[in-house]
Amino acid sequence: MKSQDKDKKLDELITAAIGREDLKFDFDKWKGEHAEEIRVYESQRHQPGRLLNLIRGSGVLRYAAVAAIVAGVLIGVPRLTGGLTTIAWADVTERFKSVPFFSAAIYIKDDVTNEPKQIELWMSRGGKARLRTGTQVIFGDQGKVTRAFDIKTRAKVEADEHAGFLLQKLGSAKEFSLDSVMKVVFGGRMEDVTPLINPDAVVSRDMVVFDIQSTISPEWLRIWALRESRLPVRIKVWDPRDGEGTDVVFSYSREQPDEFFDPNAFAGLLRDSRGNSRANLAYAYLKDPGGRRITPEDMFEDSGFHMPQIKHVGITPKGAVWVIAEKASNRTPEGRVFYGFEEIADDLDRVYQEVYSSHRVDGDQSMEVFVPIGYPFDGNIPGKITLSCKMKDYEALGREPLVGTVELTQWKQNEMWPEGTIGSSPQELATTLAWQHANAKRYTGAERIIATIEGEPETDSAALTRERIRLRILVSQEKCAEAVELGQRLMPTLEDDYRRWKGYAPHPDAFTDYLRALAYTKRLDEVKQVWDKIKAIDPHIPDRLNKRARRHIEEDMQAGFKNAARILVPHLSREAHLTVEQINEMLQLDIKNDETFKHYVFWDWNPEFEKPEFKNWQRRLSELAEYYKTHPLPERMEILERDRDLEFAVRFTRMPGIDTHFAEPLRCKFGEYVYFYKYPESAGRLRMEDGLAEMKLQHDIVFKTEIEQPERIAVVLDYFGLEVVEVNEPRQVWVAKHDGRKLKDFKEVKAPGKVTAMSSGGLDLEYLFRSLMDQQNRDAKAAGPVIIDRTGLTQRVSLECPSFEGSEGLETARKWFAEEMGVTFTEEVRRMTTYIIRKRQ
Amino acid sequence: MLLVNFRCSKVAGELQKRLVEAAVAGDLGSFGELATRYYSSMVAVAYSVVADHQLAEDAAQEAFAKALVGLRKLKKPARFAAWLAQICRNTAVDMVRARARAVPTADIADCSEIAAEQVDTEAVREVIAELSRTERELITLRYYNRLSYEQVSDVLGISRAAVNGRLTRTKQKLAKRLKQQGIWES
Repeated sequence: MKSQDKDKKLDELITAAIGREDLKFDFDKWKGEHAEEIRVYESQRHQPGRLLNLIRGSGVLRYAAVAAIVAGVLIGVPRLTGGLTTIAWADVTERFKSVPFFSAAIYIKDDVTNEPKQIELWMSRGGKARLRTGTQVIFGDQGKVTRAFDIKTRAKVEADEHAGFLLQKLGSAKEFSLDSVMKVVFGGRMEDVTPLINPDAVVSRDMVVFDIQSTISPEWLRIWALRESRLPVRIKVWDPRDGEGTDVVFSYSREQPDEFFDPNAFAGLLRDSRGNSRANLAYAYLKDPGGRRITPEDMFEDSGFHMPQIKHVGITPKGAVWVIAEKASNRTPEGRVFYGFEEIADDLDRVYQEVYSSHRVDGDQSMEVFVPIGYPFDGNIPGKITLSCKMKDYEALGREPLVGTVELTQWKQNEMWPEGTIGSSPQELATTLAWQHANAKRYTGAERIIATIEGEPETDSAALTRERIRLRILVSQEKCAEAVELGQRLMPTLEDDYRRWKGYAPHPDAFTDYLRALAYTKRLDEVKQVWDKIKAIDPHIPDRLNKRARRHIEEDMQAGFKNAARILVPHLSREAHLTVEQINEMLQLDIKNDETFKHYVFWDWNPEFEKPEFKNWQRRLSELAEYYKTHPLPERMEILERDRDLEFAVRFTRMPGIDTHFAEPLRCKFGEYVYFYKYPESAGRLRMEDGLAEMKLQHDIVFKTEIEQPERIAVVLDYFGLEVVEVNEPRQVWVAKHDGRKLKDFKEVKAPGKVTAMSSGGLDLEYLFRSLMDQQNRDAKAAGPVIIDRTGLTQRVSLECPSFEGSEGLETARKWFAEEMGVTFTEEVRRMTTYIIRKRQ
Repeated sequence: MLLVNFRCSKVAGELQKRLVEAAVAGDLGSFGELATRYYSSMVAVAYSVVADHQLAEDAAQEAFAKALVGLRKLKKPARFAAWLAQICRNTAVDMVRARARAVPTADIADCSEIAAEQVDTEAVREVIAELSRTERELITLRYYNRLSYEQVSDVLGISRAAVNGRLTRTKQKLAKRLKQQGIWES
């Protein structure tokens, strides 16, 4: 079917399912049925506007009212009558006058569903003020805006109209008092402020609450003040009709440093791009009265982490971003050191690769170069770059906490780094990227770069690198004959290069691709010859080096061969399918007794094989192979009872001398083996007759290599005289939904207790839900919950899969899914298929 | 009362704004004009929630009543349709909740018997029901009463291009699920 036809057909299917003829709306009939609503609508025409509507009528007016609310507390109301308790409103306003400094967080909400706009305000008794709204930091003095800055663009800007107005009105607060607010609220008529009789005795012992009710609308205003200190802590204006309101939360502290209100000091920080993130700027110089950390800068002081301070930054004519930073080293709690910046991003959304990094102890200086993935062919120039410093700890899987970021809009464009700093050339950066492309199988990118390198490998080191990259690509693409040919051609040059003194011990890595190519083409003798030849090369070591230096170089060379073997051996086993014995012979190794390979797995040998459970299975395989010397192999599958209950630690393997069949040991409970019948559809929906699930298996299955697990399970069921019946029955179902929150980085989501699985690539909800169902239904009674995923989330959500066993596990699961990813479950009963395994009838 | 011809979208947008402003100012006729224009859209919005034609019409009409009373709260006349749709959505959700409390189990069994007679259509409905709320609403708006992309965009408060993109993705998802159920062939 053509694409357009398919689309049309799909349209027809959907329309047939939910489509409907034209709908007609009879407004006159509707009016007749909704007389009450029409009456309310018409009556609204004549109502006076409410406070917040009046304020909203003009954006500026609204801010004037907010200023009035704050200033009303600041200046106070001369006299308010009414049956106040022991604390009079006048006391509160009087006490407020004596505080040296206060801050107010102001939240203005237009509607119940709207996010509030936030303004942060700081004022000192001397009339100095500072305010932050959005990305603006605004300074004021005696009611006048002195300077405004944007912390995103790091530039001086015109103050936000509303915020500037707010500052202005606060500065001339004598004109503004709570009177003003009340006049607006009460349509010009003054009313008493009466304390709220708070039914909560505990609160009312500590606080006094003043309420003002509008007489023209349902709106009200409430002020909370502390009884002891008599300071207001919160003011709220509320409209019960739609939740529109303004909240002001006060806090108090000692005087802040002079710099806090000084626009010149702030401008200085903006000019200094070294490590000042937006959070640092927004709250620069602010001191918390409780001594808590407010900014990343404060945090670094405590944690020991700090942002490297950028000394030079530039972009080369070919587009490489280079960064030289001081105070570059950070140390993890475990004592490991990491340097400089880890990542870079730009406003063009380009992907970058780090192609150079070094650290100089003298001056604790890091030098790094990042290139866009299209380097050196990407001629775009970004408008902004963001450098991230992350804790680099390769032993802590998935944890790379962000130390901080620096946004830059200015750098040395089209300039190279200062001489004597970065020890690389534009061509070396490109070849480094080409290596990265080749290793990541981005062959086109690699070839595009190496095509630009001219010269002969015999005389030009860049050309030799080009050929080595080419060799790597050929081997990766399994073009082994071509690779062997190129390797043979390069061998003399590689030997010369290995022999030549470069200031450090030579390493044999340059030969490994050629060795791989030889092994893949089964030229095993040649692998041995080349390996021996390299080992026999006597590299040139200058006479001027002393005995100690020579010994060091020799040790380094030995380590180099060990490392080359470490890289080479897994390729030879996995890809060239050579046995451990063959590899030992070629490279003069003793893999089974070499500590280097104790965690490696070879196709024909695993260090685990030395354990008794593997030896048991090897013996059993030999017995089975013996058995089949005198018996025909099954056409598809055969089940053999075993007379001994031995421990085995394998799933299925070939028998010695038999390539067509696998043998699989069964020594688990029957329920555990059959659980995977029709899996994953059957997850949590399999029920077995009493006693069946617990039946112990002591059998081996021998089957043709192409037979999949479902068929094997079916044969096992048949062997034991069992059948599967599908019934439709009500089941307890958990419908999973997501609350729409932004998901955490999956690497941050860990299991609350025991872990059943983890993946550095992350696990999705499908995996986690299936695991939960498996754990809750492992008894094969089909009594645990079945989860239906309605979250719509397909991305990875967790690094680990937790263990949720038993009924407690269910509660832990609910809590974990809700807290970590905003996934909640609604319990329902639905009819669905259950697979019942029973004696054949 | 303003009478409007919505043929030209630019003019329609301006006239619609004037209709909303007039309705906010107290002109019931203008509100009637708006209600007539958005009736099918609102029924579609409600249908995506209640999955019942009659109930969807009730929800749309109820939403108009609520909108009329709260019209003065509307801050941006240009977003009237999206505002109305939100009221309609909430009304429909309330109706579903009320119905869930009221419907006896026997009725559910009856529904499944009816469904058995129209396997494919019912299966398509089920697949649509399994979409996310926003996807379901989009599909319903487009296919319930064949609303144009322009009208869908107006009700959802998103651009025409966004409607096109989301619709394409949602249809691909639908096709994939229908294929898994053997109803749709590639």
